[in-house]
Amino acid sequence: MAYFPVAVSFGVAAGKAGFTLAEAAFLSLFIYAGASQFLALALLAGGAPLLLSVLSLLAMNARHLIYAPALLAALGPRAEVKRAWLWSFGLTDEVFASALGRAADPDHPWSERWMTGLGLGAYAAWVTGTVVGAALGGGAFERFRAVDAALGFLLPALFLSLLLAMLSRRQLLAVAAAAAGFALGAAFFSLTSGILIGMLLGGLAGASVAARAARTEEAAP
Amino acid sequence: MSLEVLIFSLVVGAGTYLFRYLPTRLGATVSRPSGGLGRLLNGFLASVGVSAVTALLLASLLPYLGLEPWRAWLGAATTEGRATVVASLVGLAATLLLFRWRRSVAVATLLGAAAYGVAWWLLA
Repeated sequence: MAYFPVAVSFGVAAGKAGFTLAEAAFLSLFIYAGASQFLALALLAGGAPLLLSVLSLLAMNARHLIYAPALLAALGPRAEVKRAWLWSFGLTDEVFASALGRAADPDHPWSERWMTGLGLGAYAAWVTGTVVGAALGGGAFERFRAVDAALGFLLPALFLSLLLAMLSRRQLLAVAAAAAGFALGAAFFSLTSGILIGMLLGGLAGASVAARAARTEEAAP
Repeated sequence: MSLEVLIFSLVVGAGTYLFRYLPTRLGATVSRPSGGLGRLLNGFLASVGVSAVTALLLASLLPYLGLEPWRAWLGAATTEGRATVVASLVGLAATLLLFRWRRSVAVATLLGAAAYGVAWWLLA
């Protein structure tokens, strides 16, 4: 699990954005959704209205709606949901991907117990990493300028890696639209507006690609 | 602690938990909404995440490759400006190559940032 180092970079980013250690820990304890927490930092530190920030994060996390049904469908008759109230809390992007891999593995059967263990381990790594990072990002390395510079660059390096991990040919139009939306919003309004307009235009581009794919499907004999 | 961050975390956390939990009560049959509007919504939701990461990447790059660092390097010819711009390009290239090599977000992030730090230290 790669959660710990990514959580450290979240904590560092939170510290550098002016959040206290407790505030960073709260974001990780309650929200527990990697990429969207970075969006939370940008929006809250940028002074975006609270309701708009909440709605933006919920829009970004709404993709999690399809994870449990996709996992249960992959498990078929082996699916169990007795303890789903517990393991579903930890159904993040990476845990979902690992669980799908387990569901397809005939030698190591999926179980609610395994799923709960995986989720709790990842959650513990995420929260601990956040606290460690927030302590470092709060200025512990200011005297070591090269280390401080490297800690600051964790953020662009992380977003580039996440983008590469998420990117598919189908998403290229959304990425271009998001970049254009960000550039327009940042040039004419503010950084926060740029992020929100980029998300909106990227989402609309994704919807238009889906609509075009559906039309092509229907037109096929 | 700011009350705003606490309320924000609780509300978004509750919503995200419900996104993950509620479908387990409905079973595997409700995997995706169908019909025209459902397809549009799926397309939108599938792209919002990658769009947010794109916008966040660009926002995070502004202090490194935005107008200011270039101006500091080319206009005032400061060592610090040159170090920031060149080290950023080194850091991004390292991140890209490491991701292609190991397909790991953690490895590419950590070593990409380390490459930036080393390049910055050598140039500044």
